[in-house]
Amino acid sequence: MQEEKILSILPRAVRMLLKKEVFQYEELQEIRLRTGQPLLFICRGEEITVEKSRGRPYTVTKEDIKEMLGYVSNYSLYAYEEEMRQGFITVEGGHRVGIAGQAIIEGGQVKNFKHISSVNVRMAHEILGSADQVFPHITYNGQIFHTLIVSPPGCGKTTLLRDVIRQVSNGNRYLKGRPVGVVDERSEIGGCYQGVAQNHLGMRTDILDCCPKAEGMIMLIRSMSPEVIAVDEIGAAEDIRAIEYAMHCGCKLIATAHGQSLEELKKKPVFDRMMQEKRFERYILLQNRRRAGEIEGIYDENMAALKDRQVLEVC
Amino acid sequence: MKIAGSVLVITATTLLGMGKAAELKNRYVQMEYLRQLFCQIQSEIRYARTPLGEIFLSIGGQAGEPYRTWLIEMSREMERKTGDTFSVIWAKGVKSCLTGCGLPGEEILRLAEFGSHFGSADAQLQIKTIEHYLAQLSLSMSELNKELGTKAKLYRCLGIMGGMLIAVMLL
Repeated sequence: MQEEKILSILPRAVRMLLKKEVFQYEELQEIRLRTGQPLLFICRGEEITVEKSRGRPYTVTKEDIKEMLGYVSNYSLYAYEEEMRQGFITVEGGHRVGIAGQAIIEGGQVKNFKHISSVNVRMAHEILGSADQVFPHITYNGQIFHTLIVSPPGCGKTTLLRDVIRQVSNGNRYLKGRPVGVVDERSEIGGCYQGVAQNHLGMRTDILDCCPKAEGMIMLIRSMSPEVIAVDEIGAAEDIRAIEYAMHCGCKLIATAHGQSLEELKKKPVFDRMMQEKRFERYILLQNRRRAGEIEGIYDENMAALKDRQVLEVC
Repeated sequence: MKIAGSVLVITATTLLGMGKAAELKNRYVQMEYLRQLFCQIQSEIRYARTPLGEIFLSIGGQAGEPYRTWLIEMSREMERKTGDTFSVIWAKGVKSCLTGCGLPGEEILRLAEFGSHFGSADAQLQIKTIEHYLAQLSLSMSELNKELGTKAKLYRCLGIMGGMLIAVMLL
């Protein structure tokens, strides 16, 4: 199933080549296509090329990129204008297709792209049970703490968040199941296809797909009365305002943010204020020194470490 | 015997004339249906930015034949991702499903050509492309409508008169 979804967005010529290869799709992290350059697959941090003939690697053509963009956008690039502006499109299964080329600028801002020359497919991984180890530290007396998951890109933030959502929604031995509202601005958490989540997010989860985070959180509070709200990659001032509003409404927040460390996060004004005000009660820091999904530490609202480094199989 | 033959001839030619008149009316009806479909496609793009595959599937599900088959088949073909560009999928769909449905030949050609301007770029351009197509379609429809009354009458009269002429010649 995972294999089919990945293959379906690749150019036909590449698909034909891959059919001859024995490939571990579960270990695949990225697929990189650059016009005029060899096609690269990244598996467990290693680059793999695909042979076309006589040991020569397959070279990506302009037509390949064009064909792939047609597949990724369902032949409807106009439907993904907003995503294109941000530089990526999320496809079925929650995989993120990043694009690079010549930017079209309007009013000093990126409006779209033309002459797209590079495409990077980042695989979304769903690992059920990946949050098992964090639950003892982010719950107390059957309640979940306001939690922020922090890591650099590609360290498994979204994978961990997804499993936390699933377990909070279904319930586990640390807490009973409760309604969770998910604002999935980039369709990465649920990997929604035609409004239905393709990943397991639990039986009590309501998902707002492709909705701006700040607006979505407020809409969810008003419409679905969630006890827990989950959002991915917060960072804008309006996100923080909406988070504060949600916390004042009595909702528990689980969010993720980009950052190498808590010290780096503190340097960002919006997070610094939140940390000083102790809005979040738990911080989970992820790294990928040995492998993606390594827990650097879990900290309380005073930045005191609750758990030392250990490897969590997230990606 | 001669009278019976004449009646048969007149009936046959009258029916032929009426058939031609009905064909002309059907041409107009099909163009009107096509216009409604394009209005629905336009509003899906304008208000929901829905991708084409989804639009074809949802509108096709409610449309009458042969438009139902045309739209649903196109959506399936897009899902198959066989390497064809959208314009090729569109043109193939138009030619295989809509030829012989009652639409005039030049309308089929124009419709097949329409796909090459569709699918890419921004939503505004998509809407403008549809508006342009709808304007052309409306123009063709109004021209047809002008001729419809007189031509239908002409076909019917020719059918009856032609039959009578043959009957007189036979007698």
